[in-house]
Amino acid sequence: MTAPAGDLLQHQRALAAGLYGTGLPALQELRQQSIAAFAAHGLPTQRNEEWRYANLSVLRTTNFKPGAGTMLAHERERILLGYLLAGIGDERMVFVNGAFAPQLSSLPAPVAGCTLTTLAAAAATHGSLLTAHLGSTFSAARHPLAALNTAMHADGLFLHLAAQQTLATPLHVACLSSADESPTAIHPRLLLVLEAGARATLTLSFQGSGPLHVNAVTEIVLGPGAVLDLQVLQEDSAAAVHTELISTRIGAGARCGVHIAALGGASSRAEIVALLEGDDAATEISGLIIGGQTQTHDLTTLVRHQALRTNSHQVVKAVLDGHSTGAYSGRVSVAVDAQKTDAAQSCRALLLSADASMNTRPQLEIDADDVKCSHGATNGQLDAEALFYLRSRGIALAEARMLLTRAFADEVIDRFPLDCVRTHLHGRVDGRIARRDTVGVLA
Amino acid sequence: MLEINGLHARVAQGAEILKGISLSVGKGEVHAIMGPNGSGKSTLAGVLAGRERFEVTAGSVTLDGADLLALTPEERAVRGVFLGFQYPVEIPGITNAYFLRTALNSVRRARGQSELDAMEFLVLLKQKAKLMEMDPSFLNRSVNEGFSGGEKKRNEILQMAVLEPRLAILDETDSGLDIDALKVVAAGVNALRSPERSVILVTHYQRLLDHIVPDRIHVLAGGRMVKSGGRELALELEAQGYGWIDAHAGGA
Repeated sequence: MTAPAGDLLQHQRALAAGLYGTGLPALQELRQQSIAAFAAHGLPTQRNEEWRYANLSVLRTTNFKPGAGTMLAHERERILLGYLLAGIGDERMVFVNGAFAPQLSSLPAPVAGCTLTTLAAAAATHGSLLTAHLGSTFSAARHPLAALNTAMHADGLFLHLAAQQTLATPLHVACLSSADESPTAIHPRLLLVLEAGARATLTLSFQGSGPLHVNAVTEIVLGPGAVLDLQVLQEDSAAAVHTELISTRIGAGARCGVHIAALGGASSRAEIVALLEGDDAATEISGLIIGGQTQTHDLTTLVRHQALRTNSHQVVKAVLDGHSTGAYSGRVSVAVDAQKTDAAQSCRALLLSADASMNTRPQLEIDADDVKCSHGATNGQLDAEALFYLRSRGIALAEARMLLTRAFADEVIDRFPLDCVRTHLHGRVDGRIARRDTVGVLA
Repeated sequence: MLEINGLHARVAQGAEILKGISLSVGKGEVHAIMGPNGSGKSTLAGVLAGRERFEVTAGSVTLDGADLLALTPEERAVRGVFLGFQYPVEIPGITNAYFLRTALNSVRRARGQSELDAMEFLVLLKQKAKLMEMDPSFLNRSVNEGFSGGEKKRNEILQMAVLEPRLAILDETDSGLDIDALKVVAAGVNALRSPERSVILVTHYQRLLDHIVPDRIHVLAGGRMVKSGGRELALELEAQGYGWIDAHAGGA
């Protein structure tokens, strides 16, 4: 095992006794198994086909210490104010370096049948519900970094909606991270359990500063007919490595939308796993990748169609400038008895510089015979004739580039369900195109 | 107003297409440029609008005495040059209304006028759309996306009506139009004729000139102006075809 993985195990041993859930044997056991799985597999390398495009080398060469939970007040406030001004986050749960920050949060009034709290609090009040679902949506052996999160996460969000309950207002979950001086690792964790017919919309954001490893895991379990939309704004610091797993189990007739924007970080990898377990289950996946300078963004999806008439629709768009690299690996597997599956995926990249590149890998594994599966991928530049058309009407070159780039990105931005989030993303895209040489999303 | 002197141009690093064009267009005049395919008509229109794929190797073009060739396409546009495209470009994701407001406000800024807000602009746009007999629903559709040939050309003239150029260059605006669409487009252009606005009509066919009567007609062949005259020249071409001109041009 390489030294930093050794460091990580040492950090875990030092932390373990102080983490929440010591009173829950099942959780203790899960944490043990998870760290054992991580120790056995170590950090993924680019030799592993599924991690080929993720640039995680810095994780092997740097000792990232567990986040200590401090962040300058003005920095927290600046980030939160930015979201509030955009109309995002009237109701919010804020985590600073992985710890819940009640003074920055604004939770909805309690409603019967709706449990919205921290994982640490839920361990005390909803222990069996928590242990029934935490870590239940993915295999620790296949997801070593998610396993590391399971072993080391200090806290996180717990949402449980009883049957037919609706989260009245969209919730913003803000993960703020700060590395101060030394490299810091943060393990944000969310567990969202919606029983039959329940509905919720959440926006999950990541922002911070310094040399961070933000290693997030969101687990989603949807009962029959439940509907969940998750919007993810990955706006981590320019020096950050961001790794993320969003793992969903979708029951009969339920629908899960995962809409992710990869903007920040020096290097990011997000993996979305959707298990369509019940008949008529559906998922929509939207990915917006914006890269500049030497950023690398990897979006990997795995959609498993395991029941009748299940539906998946993936749209990914990448805008890449500078020397940035984007990757999309979209794997769709259709089980032998998942007849009438309808699976579509498309990935289009706009390369704004000759040094930017995009790697697209659609993978279809189809064992059923009565299915409709499609995929399409294109990489290209701004259309020269369209640019000239706009300029010939008096629109300056820089503005013409911005208009065309925004129009390109709009197809996927329009899939984000909340208007305020779409407006926010428009601002981010425009800002990035206007300041072509700047990576960070922060001004 | 527009002075073209000894203009030579080629496709960047390619063969020469314009081989010494001279043309003078006065204020308020309508000039037609006719000629067979490959004679250089569209190249001339493109050079005037600032298409980057063409390279001027000799000659000059001035607009009111200022060097037009030194300007970017957008600088030409805000100074009043308008190119009606032979093949208008489809731009998914940008609505006609947003595109035109952005363009008009660019032009207004350059003229030192205040920008129009969305409401003011909509009032103006609806009035202009009526002139072109365009359904208002066009305004909220993506620029030219899914438009028929005739709709695209009407949209070009609508843009001209909104931007109010001083020099409009209409590149084969009549191509691909049936007679009804041609009449609408011609009526739009005629409505925009004014003593302050010059028009260059680039066309292959005489029929457009039945509807928009030019002051002067020029015949281009082999990259050179081979003949200039009044309206009767168009009728002569109609009767005799371009073969007659080719003979005049000495087989160029």
